[in-house]
This record gives sequence, structure tokens and C-alpha cells, in this order.
Amino acid sequence: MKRRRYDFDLAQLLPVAVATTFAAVLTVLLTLGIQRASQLQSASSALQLASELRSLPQYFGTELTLVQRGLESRTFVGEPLQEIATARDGFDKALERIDAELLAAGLGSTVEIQRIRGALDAAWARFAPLLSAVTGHTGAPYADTLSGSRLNATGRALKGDVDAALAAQADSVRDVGGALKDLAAGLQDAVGDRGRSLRSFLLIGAAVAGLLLVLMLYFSLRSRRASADARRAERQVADILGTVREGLFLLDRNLSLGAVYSASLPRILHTDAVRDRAFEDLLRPLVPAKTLATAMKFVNLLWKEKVHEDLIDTVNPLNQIEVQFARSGGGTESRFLSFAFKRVKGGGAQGEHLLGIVTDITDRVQIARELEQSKADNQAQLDLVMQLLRVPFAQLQSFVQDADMALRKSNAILKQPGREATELRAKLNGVFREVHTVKGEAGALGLASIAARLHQLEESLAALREKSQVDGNDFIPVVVRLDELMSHLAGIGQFADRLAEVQPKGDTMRSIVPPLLANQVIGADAEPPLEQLLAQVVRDSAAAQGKRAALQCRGLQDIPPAYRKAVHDITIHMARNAVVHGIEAPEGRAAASKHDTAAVRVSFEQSGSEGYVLTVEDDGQGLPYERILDTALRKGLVSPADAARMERPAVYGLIFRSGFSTAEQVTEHAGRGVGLDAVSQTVRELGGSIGIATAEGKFTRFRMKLPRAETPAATHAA
Amino acid sequence: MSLQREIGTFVSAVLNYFDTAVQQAAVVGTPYLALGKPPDIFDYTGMIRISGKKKGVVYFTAPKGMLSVMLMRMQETDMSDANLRDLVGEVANTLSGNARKDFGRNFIISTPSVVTGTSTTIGHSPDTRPIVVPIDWRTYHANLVVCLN
Repeated sequence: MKRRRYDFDLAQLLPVAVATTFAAVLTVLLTLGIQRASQLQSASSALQLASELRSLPQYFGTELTLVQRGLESRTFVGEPLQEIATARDGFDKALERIDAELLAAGLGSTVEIQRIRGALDAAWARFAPLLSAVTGHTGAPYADTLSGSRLNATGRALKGDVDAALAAQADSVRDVGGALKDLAAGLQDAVGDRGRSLRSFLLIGAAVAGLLLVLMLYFSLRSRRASADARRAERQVADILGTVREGLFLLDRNLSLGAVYSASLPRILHTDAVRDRAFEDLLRPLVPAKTLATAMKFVNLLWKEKVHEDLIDTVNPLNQIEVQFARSGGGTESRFLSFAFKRVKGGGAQGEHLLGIVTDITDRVQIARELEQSKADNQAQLDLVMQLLRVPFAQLQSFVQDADMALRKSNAILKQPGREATELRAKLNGVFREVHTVKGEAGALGLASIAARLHQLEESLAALREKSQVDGNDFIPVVVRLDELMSHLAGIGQFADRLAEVQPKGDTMRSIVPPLLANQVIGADAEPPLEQLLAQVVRDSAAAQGKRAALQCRGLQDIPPAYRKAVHDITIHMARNAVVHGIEAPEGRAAASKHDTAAVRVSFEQSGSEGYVLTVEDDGQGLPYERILDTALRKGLVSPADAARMERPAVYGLIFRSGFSTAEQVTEHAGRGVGLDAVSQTVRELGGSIGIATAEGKFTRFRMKLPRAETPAATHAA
Repeated sequence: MSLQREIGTFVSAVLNYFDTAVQQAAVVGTPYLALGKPPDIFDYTGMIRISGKKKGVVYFTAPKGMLSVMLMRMQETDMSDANLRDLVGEVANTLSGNARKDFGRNFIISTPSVVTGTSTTIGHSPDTRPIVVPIDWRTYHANLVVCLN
């Protein structure tokens, strides 16, 4: 990774470095070239000056000769003298200019040039004073006499100086001219050198520029190829990011998402605002605040080099989260997401990014749940089979028929027209009674699976009873559970039918698998089924309540066939009620100096010629008058004014009202306030009546008077 | 409870149709199971068939009188058979739309279809009990039937 990064940088920097180097070289070459050109120009100027000066010694000779002849002929010599003075000054200035040009040409320090320049100065120094002496005379050189003009003192001095200068002129021509010739030759060489040097620089510069051009072309081609590769790679990355189903993204140290992420990410997170978003902001609407805080801590941990990312992955709080997304058309959709993170190693010791991978695992979770449900269903099926095998065949068949009838009756109640509040309440109560009756029998037979389903249906109904306003829509959960119950019951019915095929003829009172307790084995000389059922009810209810109770039955074998079903339903309810509401827990009984095992008695006897009396009693705590009244007031079953006027029997009668229960908690065994309501309705439908006798702390006795079995009402429950 | 949610969606679709298109609310009666015999079929029935994770049929069946009054409420003057079919088909289309929106890919929904006549037989899965949701509007009575397994 490190090596590749280095290569990448070098490839990027090389053209720049080469261009910079070549530009620097070109700059140096051009600078030197300009310098050489400037020197060449100066050397040429100096050469030109030197060449011009070479004629001056001759010129001085000519002008001096004119002065000499003028003096001899006594003519005007001012003009040649002026020429000499001007030429001498010009020579001096020319020398100064030559010096300046030599300096500019870089020849000021050249030994040979210095030597020549020294010789020139020396030669000029010998000749120049003579010229100065000639031009230094002022005043007229002639004096006029009668015999003509003759030289005066000035003229004679001038003539002497002119003669002297002319005498030295030949030497001057030789020395100054020779020095100037040498200087010109030296400058000629220097100009040649500078010219060659300049040409060399220009050639090298041209070569460097050409090379630079070639390199630039090469780098340009390479860059285009690299760009094409980069574009191809970019397209490939885009293809990958556009195709991959996972949401891929990078987090920087500020825990912000970058500009590059897979196309699936916005789809998975149900938002288009992903680019450059803070991860925390992205996560906030998806998870509870506590999970968010934990998740951010977890992600921050990943930046620490010492933390082993594979190890802490096991505590990733985002490994599987359930999130709710708003649907475009309203409502929400539940999805399961899984986030994973990996460090992306950069050039430094620590990762520069975290690679985030988010996957929609809804299907996977649902499949896992379905598998789990399937396992649970299989286990439930097995449990159900065991439950069914423990029930005597005749009882099972009877139960299936009764339950089916009760559920059909519930459905018929629902189907009845009527959508007013009172009608809907009546439907609720009607279904409740039917369901509660079946539940009691299912519990008595130990059919836990169907009892649990009935309990769930009761839960739905109870929730509706708590609502202030009910409409048809509220019954949807009820009908769905009813449907499920009927399916479950149909399965049990099919099982019962198959059981019939293996059941020995005439042995329908025996179960395939012995019941759980040895003393419950039902044989040909066993107890009647109702006593067996009641014993089971008392035992199960007492165990669930942490109580101890013993059942005593009398006369149940004498129940006329027309009353068997009704008495069956009534006694199951009342026996359970006696255990749940009537008898005390062992400690309560000990405190009241009672035997720790309570007694529940059920009897059925003929009462003269008028009919029968069914009695259910317990030696428990008696009916709690105050609690009944409080409960009735709290539930709005009676007004405070009515409550103040009510006699004790009327208060006890409240326990038969629909929805009344003094139980603190709703359990599978009690608490809905339906049992006694159903009992009361059954007794009324049979044309009978119920009486209550109770003493607080001692007992409760329900006496149900039933008319003779031949009366038409007695066929009600058959 | 998935079936409960699905029924809720279909009921909402129908009630919403009455609220928005007809601009007069309908009332839901207590739903029940069609046991023993198929649910009552009225003059016009709009239905969608569903396959995929769930299979079955959902339909809205209403008497001609009810549909005619609905059309009047919608400022329609054409009470022809075709228009009544269109209306009940539109309700079925609403059922389909809501199902697609709420259940997405788990549901494969057929194009809504319309059948007429009270003697029409609508095929239900034999091992499924149709759930009938009475829809009462004014003095009329229609049924929404959900039969899914």
C-alpha cells in the first residue's frame, strides 16, 4: 500500500519536476545568452571606437601640419587648432567609452586587454600633452609690422610646440596606432568569443527547449493514458457502487460520510440526503437515543489502533436493528438493518477512513423468525398431541363439538345486525360468555393450547370492553382470533377423528396416554367424568394460585341427561371461582385456625317433586361485602346513591353482573368477571334461580334451584 | 397478527373511498366468518386476486341501488351497467392500490376485475374461512370479503 502510494505521487510530480528543471535551465541559458549578447554588443562598440580612433593620430598630424604651414604663411590657424582640441577631447572621451564598453563586455579584467589598454594609455599620455600644449596657447600668434606680419612670442611658442608635436607625431602614430590596432585585434577576438559563446547558449537553449517539448509531449500522452485508466477505473468503481446491494460508505474522522457511496445506500436508509452527512444525524431518526449514543461510542472506538476491530464487532449495537420508515402513502414500514465497519488503512499508522457497510436483512430476519416459529409450532403440535392423548376420547369428542358450537354461536352473535353502541356491547358480552365457557372446559381437560388461544381472544374482547366507544372496526382482531381458533379446533377435531380409528370399541372413557397422576386413571369403574373434570379444575387452579384444596362431590351421577351439559359448565366455573376467589392461601387459613387444605363441595340432589338443587360451596373467606361494593362502584355498575340504599343480598347479587370481578389480576383462571355472569345466564335460561349464603371468614354457598328436567327450558344446553 | 393488519388495510381503503370519492362516510359493521355457505353476493362485485406469500381473493360486493346513489353523489348522471361496473371496479382498484402500498412485494395482486349478478360464484380457497366485513352506507348494505390464507 505504501509503495503504491509513493509511485502514485512520483508519477504525479515527475512532469512538474522535469518542467521546472528544464525551465530553470532555459532561464539560466537565456540569462547567459542575454549577458553574452550584451557583452557582444559592448565589445563590438569598443571595437568600433578603437577602429575609429586608429585614424586620429594621422588626423592630428594633418592638422598640426596645417597649423605649421599657417604659421609659416602667417595665415589664420585658429580652425586647425580648434580641430586638434576637439579631436583630442574626443580621443579622451572615446577612451573613456572604450573603458566602459570593455567593462560591460567583461573584458575589463582580461590581462591581455589590460596590457594593450595600458600601452594605449601610455602612448596617448606621451602624445596628448603635446597636443594640449599646442592648443593651450591663447592670443594672436602674429604681430603686424611695416614689413609685414611676423610671429610674435605666442606665435613662436606655438610654432615650437607644433614642431615638437609633429616631431612626436610619427612615434604617436606608431605607438597609439599600434596600441589601438592591438586593442582592435583583441576586441575582434573577444567579439568572436562572445559570438560563439552566444551561439552555443542559443543552441543549448534550443536543444533544451526541444527536449522539454518532447518530454511534455511524453508526459501529456502518459497523462492522457493515465486519465483514460483513471476514467475506466472510475467507471468500474461506479459500476460496482451502482450494482452492489449493500450500502457502502466511508466515514472520516469527524464521522461524516464522504461524497462516494453505493447507490443502494439512499434506498436502504430511505433518504437521499446522504452525501457529506454526519453519521449521527443519519442514524438519529432510525434508532432510540440510547442505541444512538452506544453506536457512536462504538464507532469512535474503531479509530483506536489498539482496539481489535474483529473482537469489538461482537458488541456492535448496530449489528441488527429494527427501524421504522415512513411510507410514501402514509403509515410506516418496519425493516431490519445491519451495520458493519472496517478500518481503511491509509498512508499513516492509523486508518484514514472507516468503511461502513449497511445491509437490509429484513428477509433474513423474517426467515429466521419463521424458522423459529416453525420450530415452536412443531413443538406446540407435539405438545398438543400429548395433551389430546391424555384426554379420554369421549370427552375430547364432546369438547370439540361443544367448543365448535360455542364458536359458531359467537360468530352468529357477531353476524347479527346492529351497530349501535348498546348492540355492540351486547355482542361483546355474548361472545365473552361463549368463549369463557369453552375456556373453562379446555382448561379442565388440560388442553393448554386451546385454552391459551381462548385467553388471547378474551384479551381482545377485554380490551374492547375498556374502550369508551366501540365500532365494527374494533371487532377485526376478534374475528381474526375466532378464525384462528376455529382452525385450531378443526385440527383437534381431525385428530379426534383419527383417534376414533384406533380407539378400542366401547372404551371411549379411557385416554390413550394415562393422565399425569396415577389416581386419575379412568377405567370402567372410575369416577364419573364430571367429578374427574372438577377435580382437575380444582387441582390446577389451586396449584396456579399457590393454594391447597380438596374436592368433595355428591350426587353428580344422578344428574338427568337434559341437565348434564349445563351442570357441567356451571360447576366448572363455580369450582374454579371457589378456589380463586373463595378459599384462602395456606398462611391465611393458618391465621384463621383452619385446616391448610380447603374444602370445595359440589352436590346435586332432587328437591321434592319441584326439581333439583345444585350446590357449590367452599369453607373459605366468604364474600367480601365491602370489596364487592367498592368494585361495583369503581366499575360504574352501581351509582353511589344506589349503593347506599342496597341491602346485603343485593350487593352479593352484583357478582353476577357482566364484567364484575374482584380479582386483582387477570389470569387464565379468573379475573374477567365473566364466569358468574355466564352461570347466572345459564341458570336463568334453564328457568332456575340462584341463592347465596355466606359468612365472612367462614364459607360461601351457592344454591341453584333447577326445575324438573322434563320442562322445555331444561333442554337449553343439551 | 398479519391478517388483522391486512383486513384493516382493506377496510381503510373502502372507508377512505367513501370519504373522498363519495364524500359521505360509510360505517363498518361487526365482521364475521362466512361459515357453511359462501358470503352473500350483491349485484356488482369488484375483486382482486392475490398470490405470493398470501393467496386468496378480496372483493367488495354491493347492490345496484347503493352504487346508483353513490354515482349520484359523485355528480354522475349515467347509471348504465357499464358505469356501475366502473364504480365497483374503482373500489377494487383502491383495494389493490392500498394493498400494494402497505404490503409491497409480499403481495402479487391481479388486475381488478368486476363480476355482476347475485348468483355469481366466487372461488374461495376450501381451507379458508372468508371474513365478511359489513359496510353500511345510508340505508344500504354492502360487504367487503377478505379470504386469504
